[in-house]
Amino acid sequence: MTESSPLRHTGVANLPPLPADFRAFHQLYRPAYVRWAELYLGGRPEAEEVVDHTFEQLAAEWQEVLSLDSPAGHAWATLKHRTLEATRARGLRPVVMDNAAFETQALHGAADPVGELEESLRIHQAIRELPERQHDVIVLRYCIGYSTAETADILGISVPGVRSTARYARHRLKEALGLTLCEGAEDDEEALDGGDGGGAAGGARGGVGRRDGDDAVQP
Amino acid sequence: MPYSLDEALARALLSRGPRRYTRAELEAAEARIAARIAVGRAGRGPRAPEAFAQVSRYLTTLCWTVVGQRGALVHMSALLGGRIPEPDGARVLGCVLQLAGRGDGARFWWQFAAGAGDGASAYCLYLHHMTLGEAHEAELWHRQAGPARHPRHGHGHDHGDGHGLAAREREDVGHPQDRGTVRLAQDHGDIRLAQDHVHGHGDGDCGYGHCALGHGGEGRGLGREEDGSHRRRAAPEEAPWRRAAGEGDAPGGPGRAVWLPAAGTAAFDDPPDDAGPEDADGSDPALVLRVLALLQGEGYPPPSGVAAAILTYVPEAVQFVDEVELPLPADDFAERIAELTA
Repeated sequence: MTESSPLRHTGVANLPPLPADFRAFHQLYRPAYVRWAELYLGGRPEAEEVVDHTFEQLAAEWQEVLSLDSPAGHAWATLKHRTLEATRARGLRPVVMDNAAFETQALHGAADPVGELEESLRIHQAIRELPERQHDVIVLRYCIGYSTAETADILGISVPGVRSTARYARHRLKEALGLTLCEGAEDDEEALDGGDGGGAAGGARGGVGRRDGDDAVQP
Repeated sequence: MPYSLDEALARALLSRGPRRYTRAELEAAEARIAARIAVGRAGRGPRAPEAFAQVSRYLTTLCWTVVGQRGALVHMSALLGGRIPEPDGARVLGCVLQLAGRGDGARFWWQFAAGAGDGASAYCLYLHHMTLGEAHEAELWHRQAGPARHPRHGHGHDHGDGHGLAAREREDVGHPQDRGTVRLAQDHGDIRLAQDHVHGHGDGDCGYGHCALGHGGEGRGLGREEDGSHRRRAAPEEAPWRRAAGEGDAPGGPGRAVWLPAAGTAAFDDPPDDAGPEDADGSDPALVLRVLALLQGEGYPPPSGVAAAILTYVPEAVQFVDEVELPLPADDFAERIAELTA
């Protein structure tokens, strides 16, 4: 697909204009979608094409999408499936690429690059093994760096939903990484919204083997 | 090396964050998308857009039917109560989750039930994957749903034109083929129809396990309320992009006319070997679902008080159920079972 000139300049007849709300949706979500697809496919052009395909599909069912409880949620699911399809078509594993571990901020200018890389690979591996929704939240929130509100928006879920999912994800990551002995602002997702490391004095609630989310478990 | 999770997560942060698009890039992307759509409408592109909507409706219809069956929600509450999961309960739970917008959770429970041999769940999975455009997975589950049935190309295509429901979706109620289904609507206590190639459900031999497609009358005994607003349980906050609607909208009234292909395109258009396979007796589950949709009317039956409460509760509860150490993901399922039975 050429990026050089918009088709309306080439005189293609009978090309109906896209609905205004569709265009607004596209402008709002495209950047995040491309960033996501990039993580899987490793390259911008491939990601752009997958996202084009995604929006093409959404356009075709746009009225139905609008009637859903969460149009963004449906669009996100569509994006993910198109992305996975594209990874399969390219013979890639359907996971956020290992390259991600090499592209972390911490790696740049690290005092101990090899050690840093090793840690980076560990954490990214653990993230990849999370259940789907937890994985999505962690990648959006902690790898790419969206805020909780932005993450909720992209996924088409509520902010409390993001926080609760992140809580579970953090718990699993702690276990996967063998960090259960350590403290952290594990339930204090709000503190992390500011982007800092939290580091709350969670001593009162912490401890070995503590199951995260106990408060909220229903019988 | 003891350190905190926060430090670990800090290491996960990529050096490139969210990216911004320029105006020009966005416009170019829109043009590409519009071009793809045009190509699609010319017939070379992906499956007919109408098919997605239709399959989506089938799935919703089937889910409501399953949920509305007598005893369905009891099965499901037994499942949630922590007893040994039964395929019945898992099927219902899957349908509830689907209706609640949690397709990912629905998929798991359907897979669970389908793995236990529940053909109805397999069929739900077929529809589910079709709505996602995953033809390959859909085909696998379609075969699972009816092992005696071999997908065959050709039969399904005609159903779109030959039956009033497709005409209904074209908002052409006066279509002559409608008459058959109008007769059905008056007869709705029993969905066994006079028409030859409609699946006579009463024989129970539909390959869906027991009675996934409940008889019309009792299956719909959830009680109708005039609310009719169940499709959106709570009025969603107006997303900023929605407000853009109405300015410079494409011509074509509600917008459907612009995006849908020429009328007469059948559902399950593509891929070919998924098109409405039929049993030897000419049954077609897709047709049954269209019939059910007609019976249920334009909006799906709003849930009664109890059902509504359950539909609200379940998605929350299932968050926790997901955290229980069930054999996840599906890749491991077979292995774990083999271990347990060794």
